[in-house]
Amino acid sequence: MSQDIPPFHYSLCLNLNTNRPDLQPYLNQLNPILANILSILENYPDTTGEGSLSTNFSKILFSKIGTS
Amino acid sequence: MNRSAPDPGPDGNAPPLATAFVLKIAERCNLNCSYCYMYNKGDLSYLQRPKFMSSEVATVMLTRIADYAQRHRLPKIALALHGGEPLLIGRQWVQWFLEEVHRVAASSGIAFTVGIQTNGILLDRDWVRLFSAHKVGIGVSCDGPKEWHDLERRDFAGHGSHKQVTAAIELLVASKDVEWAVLTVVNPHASPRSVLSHFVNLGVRQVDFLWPEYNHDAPPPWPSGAMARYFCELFDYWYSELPTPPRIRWFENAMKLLLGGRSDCDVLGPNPITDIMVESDGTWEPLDTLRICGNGLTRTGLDVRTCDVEEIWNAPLYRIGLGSQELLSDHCRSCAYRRVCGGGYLPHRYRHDTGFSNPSVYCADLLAVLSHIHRRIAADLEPIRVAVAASASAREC
Repeated sequence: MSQDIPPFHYSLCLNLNTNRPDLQPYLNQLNPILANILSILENYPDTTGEGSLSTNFSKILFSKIGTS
Repeated sequence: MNRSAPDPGPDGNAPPLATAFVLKIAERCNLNCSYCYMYNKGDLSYLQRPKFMSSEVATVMLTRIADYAQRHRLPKIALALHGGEPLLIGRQWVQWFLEEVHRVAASSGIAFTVGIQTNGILLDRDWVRLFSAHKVGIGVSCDGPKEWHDLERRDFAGHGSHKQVTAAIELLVASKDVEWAVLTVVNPHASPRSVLSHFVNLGVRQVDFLWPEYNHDAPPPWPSGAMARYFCELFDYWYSELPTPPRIRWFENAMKLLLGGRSDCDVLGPNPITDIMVESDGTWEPLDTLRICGNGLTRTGLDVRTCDVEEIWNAPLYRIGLGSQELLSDHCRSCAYRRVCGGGYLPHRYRHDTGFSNPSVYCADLLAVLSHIHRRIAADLEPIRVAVAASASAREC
């Protein structure tokens, strides 16, 4: 088996929830292209076996920076 | 009609189902681009085919595709009008075909979307009106500024086509009710900034950058690393410098894959290649860019007049496309980025003695570009990751 790319994003996505106003400054400053990609990913089924992918994260993005 | 059941494969299940068909309605072109995989990369099978698809073939083909979609409960099918140069077949034929698509859609309940890929030479207001009326998405091929575009995209007299394609793009910019995008084949000697700026200045909102079609038997004429330099510089310019960046499909797919999502194209990611071509003579064939791997390699002899769509499942080359991940080389299997690049675009993996079990001829460049994008994304997400980790740590305390 190969070593996979470090899944920095998985733990990030899975640990976020919608009640994190402390993250708003970071989210507001996120690169808009990256924010858009994350919003697209919300519609994807999990392909990693690690649970729902980026759903919570992109929900926060939508509510904070209005990119939905 | 032949209704013999195609071989479903060793496990008895149907393979991944095609939902996109590329229709070679014109198998000649009014340009003679040096890098063209249809006509200038060694495949001569086009000489045995009619210049244009007949209405008889098109009618039977649409019925076959609709029947196939119904059998497999596929609600939507994408049709791409392709060539050669598809506009050479004439507006009257295309109008007839689009009306035929509507008729088949109404009778079958299948939703068809139609797109067309053109070099733009013949595109005028009447064409755009027709495509607008039928909601046909338009792709225009353009390689950027005149000095780069005209280097490769010339007519048979050697004249560049930049002036005409620019007029076509300007027409599309002014037409608010059509969906369109630009396809550009990368020349790594060009400045990626000047190419992308050219498109932005023209008003292009969607563009894809294609890696030229080479493989291990016919490798790229530039040194390894040239494509990586081009794509890394292009990414940085697109990602962080342009105030209103256009969509770039290759980068968007790379980012989606790096973030754990899926690609919606066949040039990146581990997806099986399911798209089916229909040649002007009415044969079902696998991926057209595989023509660079050998003269006549894509020929199947499977005629729409006698064969259902599913019979292409028995074509060896089509099966290779479906199972491309099973053929990955040991080098690819041990690579951290294999799920992102998918081992490289299938034609780029080919070598006459080892087939498709090779890393892409662009492997080193792909690895450099993808790891560059990975680093950029990770850096942008790092403050959030740190904040999340810090708050989690505080909760534990």
